[in-house]
This record gives sequence, structure tokens and C-alpha cells, in this order.
Amino acid sequence: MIGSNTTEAHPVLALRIKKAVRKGATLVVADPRAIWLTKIAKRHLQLRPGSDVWLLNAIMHTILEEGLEAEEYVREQTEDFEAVREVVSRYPPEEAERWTGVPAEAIRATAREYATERHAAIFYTLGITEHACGVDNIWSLANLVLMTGHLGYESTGLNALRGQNNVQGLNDSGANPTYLPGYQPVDDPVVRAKFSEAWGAEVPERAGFRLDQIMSGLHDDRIKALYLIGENPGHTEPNAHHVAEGLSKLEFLVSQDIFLSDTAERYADVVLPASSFAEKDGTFTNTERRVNRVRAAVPLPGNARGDRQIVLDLARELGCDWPEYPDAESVWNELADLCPNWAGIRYFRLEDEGLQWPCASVDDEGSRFLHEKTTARPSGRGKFHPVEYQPPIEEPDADYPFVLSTGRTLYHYNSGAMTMREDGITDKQRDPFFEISAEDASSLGVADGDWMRLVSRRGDLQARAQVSSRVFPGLVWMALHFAEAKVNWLTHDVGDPLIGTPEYKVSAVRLEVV
Amino acid sequence: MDVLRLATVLETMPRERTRLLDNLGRLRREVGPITPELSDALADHMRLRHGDVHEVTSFYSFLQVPVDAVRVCTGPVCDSRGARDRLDGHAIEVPCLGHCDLAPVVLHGDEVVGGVTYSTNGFLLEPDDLRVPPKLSSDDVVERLRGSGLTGMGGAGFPTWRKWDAVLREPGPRVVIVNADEGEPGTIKDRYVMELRPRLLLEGAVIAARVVEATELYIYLREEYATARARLEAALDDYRKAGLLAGLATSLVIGAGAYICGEETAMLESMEGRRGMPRLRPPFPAQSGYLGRPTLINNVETLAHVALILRGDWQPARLWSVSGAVGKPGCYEASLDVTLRELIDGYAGGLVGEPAAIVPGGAASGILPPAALDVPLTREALTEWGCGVGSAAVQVFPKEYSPLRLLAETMRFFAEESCQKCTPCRIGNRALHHVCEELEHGRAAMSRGQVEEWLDAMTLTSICGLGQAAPYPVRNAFERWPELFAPLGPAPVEEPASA
Amino acid sequence: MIEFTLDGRPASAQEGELLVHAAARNGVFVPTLCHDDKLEPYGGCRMCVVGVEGSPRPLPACATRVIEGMVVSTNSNVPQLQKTLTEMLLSEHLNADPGGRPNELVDLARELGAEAPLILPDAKREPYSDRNRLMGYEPDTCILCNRCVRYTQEVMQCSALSLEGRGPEARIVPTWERSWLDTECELCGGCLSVCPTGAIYEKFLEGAGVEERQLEQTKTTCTFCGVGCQIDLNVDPETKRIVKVTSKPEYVSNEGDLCVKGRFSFNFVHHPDRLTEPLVRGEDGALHPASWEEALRAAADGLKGVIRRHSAQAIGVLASARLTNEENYLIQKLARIGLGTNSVHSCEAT
Repeated sequence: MIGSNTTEAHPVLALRIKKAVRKGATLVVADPRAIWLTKIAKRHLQLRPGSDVWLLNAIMHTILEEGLEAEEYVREQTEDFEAVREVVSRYPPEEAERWTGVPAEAIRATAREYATERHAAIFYTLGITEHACGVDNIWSLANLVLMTGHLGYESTGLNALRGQNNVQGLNDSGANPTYLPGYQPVDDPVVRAKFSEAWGAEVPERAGFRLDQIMSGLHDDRIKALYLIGENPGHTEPNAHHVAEGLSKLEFLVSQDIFLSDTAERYADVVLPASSFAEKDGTFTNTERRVNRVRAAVPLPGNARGDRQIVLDLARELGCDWPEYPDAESVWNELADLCPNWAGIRYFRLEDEGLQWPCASVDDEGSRFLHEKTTARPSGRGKFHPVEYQPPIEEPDADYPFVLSTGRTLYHYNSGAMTMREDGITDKQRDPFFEISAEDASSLGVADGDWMRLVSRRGDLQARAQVSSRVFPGLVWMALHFAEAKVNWLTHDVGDPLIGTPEYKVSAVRLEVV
Repeated sequence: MDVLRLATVLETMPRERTRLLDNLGRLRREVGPITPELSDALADHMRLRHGDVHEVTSFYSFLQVPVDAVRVCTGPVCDSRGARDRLDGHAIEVPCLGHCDLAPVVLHGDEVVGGVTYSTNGFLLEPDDLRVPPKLSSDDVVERLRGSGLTGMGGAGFPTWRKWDAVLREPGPRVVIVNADEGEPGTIKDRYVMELRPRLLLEGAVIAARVVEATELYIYLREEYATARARLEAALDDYRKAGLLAGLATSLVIGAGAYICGEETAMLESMEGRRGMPRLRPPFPAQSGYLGRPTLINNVETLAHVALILRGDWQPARLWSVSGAVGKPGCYEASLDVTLRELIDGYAGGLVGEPAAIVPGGAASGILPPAALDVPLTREALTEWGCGVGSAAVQVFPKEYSPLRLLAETMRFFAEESCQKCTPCRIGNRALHHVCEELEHGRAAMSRGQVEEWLDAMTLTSICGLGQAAPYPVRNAFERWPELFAPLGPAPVEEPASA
Repeated sequence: MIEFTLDGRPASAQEGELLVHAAARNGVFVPTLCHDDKLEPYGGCRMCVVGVEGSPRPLPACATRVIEGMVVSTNSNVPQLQKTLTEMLLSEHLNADPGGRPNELVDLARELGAEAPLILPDAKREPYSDRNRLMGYEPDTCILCNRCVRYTQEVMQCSALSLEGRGPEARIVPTWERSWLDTECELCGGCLSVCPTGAIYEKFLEGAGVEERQLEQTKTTCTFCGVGCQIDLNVDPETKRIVKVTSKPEYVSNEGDLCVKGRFSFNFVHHPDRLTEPLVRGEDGALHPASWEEALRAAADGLKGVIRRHSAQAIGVLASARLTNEENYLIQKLARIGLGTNSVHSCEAT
């Protein structure tokens, strides 16, 4: 497990891990914090935030040094291996210890255990991706998986745990500037032609903006209008004060949501009352690519409308001549007809349980894992990407001496719009808090529960100190759920150069007693 | 709570779960009664869940009690001799303390109030010298045990050689445990052995360990036996110095007040740092015992006999604990087929007053009427009286102590000592206690037919011997003193066997 | 497969299969209370004892594995033992329905015609109250089957509940009788879900007279993380409100397990803060309720205005992981061919 606080972010999936450990599986946790899973782990690699590449390269260094790589797999199924061999040779565990804080022997032992166990799987979450070097981190993990051939059969692979209920489906269904539904590239004229024909209108050729480009576009006048559906970038995006400033410059903002967010309240020109999950039919796709049914259980409140209906109404108002779409299934069928990997998934097959894509036809039972025969790349070969370590964008210094990392807690969900409205849950966790080591707390003279001010170059907020053995001296950690103390007032917005994912996991802050 | 003291003590405590009970006992002695805070601190130190330590702590009677508490025994013999009069505000009530010859018994801390005296005979009076066990092959020893006819003295009466043989057949590493958790009401014999002949016991234990090629030897001793503990520790020192424990990791495990831990599998659970709740069988300890290893568990007295047998000067005999309304209560070596009258008149100073009821072998062995005074105390003869020889703990109750009261106290004991895991034992014993108490007021809490059904369910479906055997004394009492149970209505007529 | 005899008839079982399962597959239902397939065999309640040839006593079917040639009987004295054991449990079962959850003991008693011949004088347990607002616990409903505690130990591996004491004092309580809020409890409600008698229950239903069996269940997918737990929204047919969330062991993604959010965070659906009218910002700079026609026209006009003044490329559309695949599909379709831009993305782009 690397960069995944599974018991809090994916509590039910964590039960499977607990069960596996109980049955004798070896668990190694790599995380800057002593998260719950470290209690049952054989080993905790407590690395410094942002040093993942050092750790992973050193693990690969050991594997190659000791000849533990899957030679045949590398030869038959991959390409560009030598470049990685060259790079990782410069990442010996002893030096990695200095960069990561993880003992060299722990790195070596992990390398041996991972490489020699046939059923060895890697799970990661946002602790890997929410870095300016997020893509590098993923490539490093992919290198490790390819090098050991832990791919294409059960209980192996590189497994992303999706943070939200339908992140997988969101991407699958084409809400992405680069891909049309089913990961069909929008810059491919054949693909565009296929969709244009099916939709009876031309799919624009011009590349779209990614989230981070849209956000920066608020400031440089590229973006003049936003249509937000169930999103609150004023809370969840990094450097949130800066985001707010950008939103204020918009000419037009439409917000479609179930609650009136503070962003919408301040900046929206039109607010459209939408549906919660309990009021609609459709599907969510979970982290194992399983398409599950969503079913309406209660009526919509007041004059609120279902999101599908709202989008269709707006399309009509914009002059589109679309099919009727009388129900969610009719929309799904259009998607499935256009996306080969989803073609076999139909509502009648989802009555009892979901199906995992790829699923090519209605006789196809779906796929429990990917890359079974060959890797899912055009060449059929897994590609190694050599990765060099890049330090985090913002490192602590004399003015901002602490590293701030962020994340979720068990009890709340993102901006807290839903969970902060549950009394039974806020009884357990309501006030904004941050984790701080006992050493730092005592040198700052604060006790557990004391309020402090956290200040970064971009903003400040107040939260209670939670003195905790989960963090080491020099590191503080805070969750993103608190409306009155948005941790994203503090975070910086320099993201990964390739995909723009922000570096929520490393910012520099100072702490002030209040 | 002294936080510094706690921190210092904790630092020295091992983290293996098997040491939980020991750690709790030490914390209690060195820091104070186990509070939720102490429990959590120990849990954190041992990396256990807080609930694990809470569950274990609360299972035992003494962990939350100060070490200098006054403990009044309210076992049946002590109760019959007015023990409850000694309960004042501070004293706590405990089931049989194993000093029935001195009844009524009160412990102040580790000390028996009024001191301890012994009334005994036979090998218990011989000098407790340290002897090097004879070098014999495992097969020879098993064969000699088989020839001796020795059976377990703890209560179940299983042939000793069979147990040894069964453990030997399993692959090592193997473990030997001395069951020194004597707790059956009326039973004092193991304490006599440990206080008077600790080296003889160790001789038997070491022989057992050598024969089954064990690498670990444990002695699970009840907490209330402080003197036995000191003498065993001294004897162990002698053994160690003499090099007789080489290659054999030996330790004393001290209980914390729970009768059920004398049950083999409950003892294993207790030693592994969990609540002393009996395991489901099979597997039996001989196959899968302590930490899953083949484990030989023998009673203290049994091992003393083993030593004597291999020394070559043994005649079939056992130790009889005799207490209650007799002239000289004590622990006496006598033949296996001695009668109650021979035992009481020949060894225990004769009857005092007129007896009303006699328990031959501990709480679960049943209850005999005075008419049985001349019956030999053998398994076969007692079966005819619906009784067993159990742990050979003869308790004589005088006329002034009604059999109904005896029965009520017996059922109360079982109810309180039930580990609670299985329904029939947890609820059946409490119900029967209640039925007896109501009968003392002439009221019927249940009909006789229902009681019989409940007794059947207890016998047939309880997990361990506690619940399975508890119905014996009730059935005996139905038979011997039917008039006491008249309010319950007539006994159900046996249905004719179907064709 | 191995062969055995069940009530005089030949039957088959898988190697190592528990007798209770093998019997069920061969058409013989053996009642259980302390058994839960998620947990290690326990064999405490003894409700499932069956006769096994060669064993001096009946054996618990929930903890006994079938072996070749085993001869098993569930007739003879077994029905009487089941009835007596049920009577025993009823004799300390003082409250059959604290919170509207199903009670398997009461069901079993009805089926077997068992009634408590007496109520034990020490049946009354110390009441437990807890300041948390999610889970209630009625000790007088508890039958000490220990499923809840075992769930915390074996499945959650947390420390929330303890089996405390022994004998008549034995009871189940949150560890050291603290509030659940002050233990390691994560409020997942797993203990509640495995309780066979409803002794642990949804506190907000205490005294509401709402019985689980009378609720309409709609199976759907949880909205709180990527695991995709399958849940049943239990809706009161009269008020049309979600009353509670449950799940079932046979649901693939989560095997009936849920977390605190999945089980207890559903009131937001009916929260008074929910948006129920479209809003349009007026000349005064404030948001005002509007009709759907007005709001949709305002939205379309506003977007069209930006396209006119700038271009479609000046519009960003942010979809959401909160939404269904179908909704996201329509949103990207709207962005691409309705508005004319590929700039459709979301905050969950990672």
C-alpha cells in the first residue's frame, strides 16, 4: 500500500486487506504517516512526503542488484527496460535512506519480498498522484510492476483506488478534454468522425482545456464562463483564495448542485437544483471497473430535477436536436454502442450485480483483471519510463518550516457538504484539526486540542492541534473537509507538468499560537 | 496512579500476547488494581486492542481488586461453617479457596488468616528430597504407567499413559503443562502436594517433559496459592541449579481467579492471553494445544504419583481431601477403594454430629446420602449412586445444613464460574440456582418436567465439563430427597421407547 | 465431494465444508444464532447442535466440518434441544424490540413454539446509554452470541466492543463502558448489522415504531468512495424518506459491510438546505427563485452570450464524480456538440 490511507478513504476495501493479513498475507505500507494499516503491517516505510521516486528507484535498484527481476517477462513483454536499469543503478538504498528517511535494510527487504512473491499487488491512491511529480510516481510504480512481471493474473498489478464513487466512470464516460467516451482519443479523426456521425453534429477538433488550464484560464481571460455540475472548485482546488479571485472575473457561471455552495452563492448567475444519488437511476463504475446500478429510492425535493433531465433541458434550450432519452438506460445504451469495451454491459445484466469492463459482448462475463495476455498498449509491450527524482515544488524553509500534507478522514467526504450535515457524524469529528507530532507540539508549547494558526504563502486558517504519533517532527497533516478552515487556502497550485494534478500533498507552512 | 512507576514497569514487560495474564498480574501487584487507564496503557505497550485487555481483565475475579484485599471463601464447606458472617463491607466473596480443612477461610492479601496447618499422612510427610529421575526410554515409562493403572487425579480420571502416548504420536515441538489450578470446591490435595512435596511434583513434571520430548514446561497455578507458589519457585531453583531443567524452558503461570481455567482448553486460552473460555473439541490438546502444539496436561497429584511409580515404591492410592463435619479435616493418602466411613473414621477423626449429605468428589461429582457411608469410593460403585469420584474431595455436611442449601450453593458456584460462552451453562446454572432458592421458600420457579428438559440440554449441549456435569448433583438430590422438590410437581413419566 | 448421511438419506458435501452449510444445501435447515459466515466458527449458542454417530454428545453444525461417511441426524432429540435452548435464551431476553430491527430469536421461538418458563431474577442488565446519536444498545436484548464483538475483532479489527466479565455478570459493552465516540469505534455499524436480535440498533429509530420489515428497500450503489458498496436504501412508504441504510452479505463489492458514511450519512438527502427551486441572479446582485423556464433560458442565454462575445473555447464545463455515467456522458456530449468545446473535465481528474 503506497500513498493510500485505506481504512479512512476506502474503509470497506480495507476490510479485505485486513482479512488478507489475518489469513497470512504480507502487508507493507509506504506512507509519511503512521496510518492505521501500519498496525497490522509487517513493515512501515515512513518516507518523507515527495520522496517516492527515491524509494521506488531504490527498491528497483535492489531487485536488479540481486537479480530478482522477471527476466523472461521483461524480455518478452516489455520495452525500454535498459533505460530504467541505467537510472535506478544510481539510486542505491543507502543513499535512498538519506532522502526518504526509510532505512536501507527496510527498502531491501521490501524489494525481496515483493519481487519473490508471485501474488504481489500494489495499491495506491492520491498520496502518489497528488504531487507535481505525480506522473513520475506512477511510472516508477509501473516500472516496478513490469520489472517483476506482476501483471496480468489474479492478485497482482498496479491498482489505483478511486477516491470517489464514480471517478472511474467519470473518465470512462468521456468527461475529459482528451478522450471521448471509452478513452477514444479526441485528436483521432476516425474517432471524431464516428462520434460526429452518431451524434448528428460535429465533435470539435480543437483541443480542450484540462482542469488546471481551466483554472488558470480564469486569470488570463481564456475562460469566461463555467458550467459546474456538482463541483465546488472554490473549496476543493488548491490555492483556493486564488481560485475565488478567478471566479469573480467570470462573465457567466452556472452551478448545478444539490446544495448551494459558497462558490455558487457568491458567483453563480444561475443555480439549478439537482438530484442526489438516492433520487436517480443510472450507473456508477467502481475502482475495480465494475459498473453498478444506481436506483432511485425517493422523490426529488420541491422543484429539483434529475441531472439527466436538466442537461437535456439545457441542450434543448441551446437548440440541440437530441434523441428523447426517456430513461437512464437509453443513455447508457448509446454509450455502450459507441464504446467497444463497454458494449456487453447492459442494464438487464446488472440486476443482481455489476459487471467489470472490458466486456465486449453480452456473452462476455467481464474482466476481473487487465493485461492478461499482453499489456493493453498498441505494441502489446509494457513500456518502461526511466524516472529521475524531482524535489517537491515548495520545500520548508526558515519562514515556513513545516511540511503540510493533506488528505481525507473517515468521517467526512470532500467539502463536507453531505457529511457535515450529519449530527451523528459531526459528534465524532466537527472542528477543523491538524495532526502534529508530540515533539513539535511541545517545542511550540501547544497541547492537544489547542487552536493554532497555519500560515502559508497563500493564506492562513485556524485549526485545533491534534498531537499524534502518526506524523513525524516537521510534518503536519490536515484534512480538506472544513468549510471554515479550507486547507486549500494554504496549498499551492503548481501541478504535474503533464496532467496538471495539483500537489496537495506537499506545501510549506508555519504554525502560530493563537 | 503513579505514572512514572507505570512507565518503568511497562518498559520491562514482554509484548507477546502469551504474557498478557502475567503482565496484568504484575501490574496489579506493582502498580495497583487494573483500571481502564492501566489496561489501555498495557494494551498500547503490547500493541493489543484496548478491548482485548478489557475482556481479559474483566474475565478474572482478582485483577481489579487490590492485592491486600480481604477474601472470604464462600465455598460450600466454608458456607456451612458460617463464612458469610465474616463478610463485612470491604471483604470480597470468593468461591472455594482450597483450604477447606481450615474452614471457614479468610485470606488477607496472600495470608491465610489464622495460619496454615496440615493434617496428613503417607508420602506427603516424607522428606521432599531432590532426586535425579531414572533414565528410561519413553516407551518404558509409558509401559510402566500403563502397568500401574494410574489415572488422572484432576477429576476426569483418564488413563495417564494414554494421554502421554497420544502426545508422543504427534509431531513436535511439544509442550507439558502442569494443571495446578486446583479449584474444585472441597479439593485441597494439590495444594498439599505443592506445599509439602514440590520437588516430587517437579520430578514427575520433568519426567513427563523428557518422555514426550517437550521443549517447554508450564505450571499453571491459581493465584490464591501464594505459599505453594513460593515453594515451587524454591524447588524450581534447586532443579535449575542441579542442571535438571537443561533444554527445558520452564515457567510458572499465575492465574487470576477463574475456576474455569482449570478446564484444559480454557487454561490454554488463558495462557495464550485470551479469556479463559473452553475451546470446541476436537481437536484435543494432545493434538493441538498450547499455541497449536501437541500438549500434555497433567494434574499436580498425578505427576507426583508418576514420580513415585518410577521410583518404584508405589502402591495404588490417591489423596483424599476430607473436610466439613469431621474431627480432623485434612488430606489423606488412602487406597482407591476406601469407603467414606473408613476414610472419615480411619483418617479424618470421625464424624462430628449427624451427617445430612456427603459430596464425594467435588461440586460436580454429585451428592450422597448418609446411607452411602459404606460404599467404596470407586468409579464403579459410585456410578450406582449417580455420582462420580471426581477429584476425591469428600465434604461432609451436617444436619443443620440442608441439602437444598447445599444444592443452591453448588449451582450458584457453577453459575458464577460459568465462562458464559454457551447458552446451557450460562443460563441453565443460573436458572437452577434460582429454582433451589425459590424452593427454600416453598415456591416453584419451573415445573419438574421443564427442569428435567433443561438438565438434559445442559448435559448434552454444554461445551465443557462444567455445564455437562452440573446437572449431576441436581439429579442426585431429586432422587435422594424428593420431598424437597415436591413444589415442582411430579417427575415426568419416561415415555415408552418407540417401537 | 465427499459423501455423508443426513437424516438417513445420502448427501454430499465439499471437502472441509461446515455441516450447517452442507445440511442447508441438502435441504435441511439448521437454525443458528451465533454463527455468521464472515466470522470464525464459534459454537456458543448451541442452537445448531445435531446428532453425529460416534460422538457421545451432539455437535454444533456451525463448527463441525463434514467428513466422509459421517452419519448426521437432526431429528431424534434435536428439536427438543433447540426448543429448550430457545427457552433458555428467552428467560433473559427482556426487550424484544428496542429499535425496529429483526429479531431472529423471536422468530425462532415462534417457529419452535418456545416460551420462557421463567424470567431469571438476574436477567436485568445494567442499562447502557451513550451520547453518540447513531447507534443504540439495549443490553436486555443481547443474547451474548458475541457476533458483534467478533465482528470488531475479526473483520474491523478495531476495539469498540468487549465481552466483559463472566457468569451472570457477563455482558457486552463498548470497551470499558465508554461512549462509542471515545473508543476506537469508527461508527461503521458492522456490529449492528451482525446482531441477530437487534440489541444494537439505529438510535434515531428508537421508539419510532418503524420496523425494518415494513420498509421499502431499494438496492443501489453507495455514493461515498470508489469501492461501490451495494446498499439498500430503506424507505418509509408513508413519508417517502430514507429511514436507514442496510446491506446484505451476498452483495459482491462489499459483502454486506459498510462504513460510517455509507450506513449513516443519508440525511443530507432530506436536509432542509437542499436546493428546491432554480435561482437566478437579479439586477440587485442577489440570487432569486425562478421558474425552470426562466432559469434554463437564463443559463442558455448566458452561455450563448459568452460564445458570441468570445468563443466556445471560453467555456469550461466541470462534470463530477458525484454523477452517474449516463449524466457525465450527456454532459460531455453537451459540452462538445451543444456548446462546441472539448473543455470538459472535473475536479476528480486524478
